[in-house]
Amino acid sequence: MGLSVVLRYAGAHARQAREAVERCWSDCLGDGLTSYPESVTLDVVLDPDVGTVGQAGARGAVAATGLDELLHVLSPRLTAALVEAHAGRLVMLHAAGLADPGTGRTVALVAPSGTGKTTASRLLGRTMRYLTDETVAVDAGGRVLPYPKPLSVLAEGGNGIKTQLAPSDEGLIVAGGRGPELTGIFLLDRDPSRTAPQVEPVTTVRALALLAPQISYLTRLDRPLATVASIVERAGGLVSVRYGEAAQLADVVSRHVGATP
Amino acid sequence: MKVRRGKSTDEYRDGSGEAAVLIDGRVLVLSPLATRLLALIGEGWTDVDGLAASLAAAVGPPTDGRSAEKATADLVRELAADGVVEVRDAEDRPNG
Repeated sequence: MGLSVVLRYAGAHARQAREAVERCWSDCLGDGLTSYPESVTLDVVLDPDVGTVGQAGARGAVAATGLDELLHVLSPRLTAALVEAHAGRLVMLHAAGLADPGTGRTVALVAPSGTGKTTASRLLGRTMRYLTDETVAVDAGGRVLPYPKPLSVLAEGGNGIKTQLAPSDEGLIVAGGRGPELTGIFLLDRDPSRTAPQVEPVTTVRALALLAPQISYLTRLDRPLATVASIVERAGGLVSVRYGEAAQLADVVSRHVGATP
Repeated sequence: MKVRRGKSTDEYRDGSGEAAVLIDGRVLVLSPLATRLLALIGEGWTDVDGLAASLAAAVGPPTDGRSAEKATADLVRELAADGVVEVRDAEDRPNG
């Protein structure tokens, strides 16, 4: 997302934590050539001692007694830190982002948590470039800053802990192609009873109202409504999509990115 | 009754006639009529009856049997409930 991340590991199992984090987040690791002027720093503590973890947590560290729990809590903490660092600079949609690997035409699939972003990303990311399943960050020119974070998947019997899967390990496309440029914004509404998707364009004014709850730090933007409206209109306007299964959504997205700009 | 703009921090209009206003982090959509009314309201206190005349001249009288003054006052109260505008009784004097 255009920032360097510094993770400082500590605790009895610091090395185990580092290896696991680097495995899950491998698609976000730098190429060793690109440098970013700003960074976000988090302390990460993995230790079996509850007291040690409690103290680390009180100091603001991402801390847990178990590895799965650590990875589970790290993902939203890291996302929140990155989003906060960009507050007021980027329009950050709570959305999955996928790009056509050839043209760079990119769609944002906007939806609240737990309503299909990761599922759609896992399906669409096999033929499109996976940019994120959480936050689509867009600059004033409509360029999307990739954030190919791990897929957070709720595991059966996982006590609410989401397993973190490296996108490339799941067969998703994570690199290559032209720079992603936002050319479509879809507001998702999953209705399992639907047998066919319902697609409706939304006026810009209504798009602002519908998107506002899904935009991080909206009020920190300069002229927030005009800024978001500019991005929405540059992307061809907001489209509302009611769908039943991810495959229906895939059809809608594929038609959109395949359409002549 | 007098009215002035509320604490909206931003406003946007498109070709639909509607407007979006940002208030306390929420974005509200105003109807075309409310958008026209808001355009007539400034930062200072304005008499609602005067606004009713301007609004009626722009869009015609209400079609539901209410007077322009009553319809405008009702709309102003709705906007006030959402924080888009502030109202006070005509005889009140602003603080300060």
